[in-house]
Amino acid sequence: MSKQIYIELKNDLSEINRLSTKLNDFAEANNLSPKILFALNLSLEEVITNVISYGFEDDKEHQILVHINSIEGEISVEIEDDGKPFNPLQVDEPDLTIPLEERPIGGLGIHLIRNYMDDLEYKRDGYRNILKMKKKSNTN
Amino acid sequence: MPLKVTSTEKEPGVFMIVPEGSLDTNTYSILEKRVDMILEGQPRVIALDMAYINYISSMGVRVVIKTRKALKQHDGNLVVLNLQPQVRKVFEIINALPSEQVFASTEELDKYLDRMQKKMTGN
Repeated sequence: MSKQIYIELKNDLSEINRLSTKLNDFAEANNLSPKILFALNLSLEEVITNVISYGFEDDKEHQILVHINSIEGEISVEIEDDGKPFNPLQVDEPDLTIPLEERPIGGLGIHLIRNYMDDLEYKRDGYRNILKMKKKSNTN
Repeated sequence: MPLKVTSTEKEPGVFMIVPEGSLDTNTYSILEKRVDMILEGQPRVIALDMAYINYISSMGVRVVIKTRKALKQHDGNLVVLNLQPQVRKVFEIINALPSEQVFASTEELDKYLDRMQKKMTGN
């Protein structure tokens, strides 16, 4: 498999399974460690679940484009959707010092992504959200 | 990846739940349904054996947090055991589990249950 893959997903949560399978193949072809694969799987699932669950205000079918590239010890992931404008990087960090029982349940996904990825960038381009995530793959 | 869930009543009011596979957006509801069924009987303890969970996302963590909250409402406890390192890390990042409720082995769980039993019977 090449050093990069493009995946087109429909706005259906079951598509995450297909994405995960593709990601496993990509990791194998690029000799990525289980830790890196876990980080990629988790971050992509969190983003895509969010886009599919909250991004679209109609019942139509939408496409979410995922581009994953491995260059010089770094994996870059780009996720593009035509949902409503949403910048996940503006979501407040959850207050983890509040006891679990009283803590609001939102914001956990983006908190995980921030921990697992090395770099995040968001832009709104016309009617599309574009989220770029980077992960160093030569660490372990 | 699919999720399989088995559960047993270890002793009266103490349930062991063993999910196996991936606990994610597409599978969390399988565990949630089993937990809800068990919660109806107002158990004292639910022990979640995570030995065979190799992947978890925030949706999976939410089920665990929800279970803990539901048990607390009637003074029940959730304990989690045998977390694989990569799964433990997810819980740690979210600060989702107090350390006294995480056990490294089934033996630790048994000791905990013994202590609880003694507390209840006053021995």
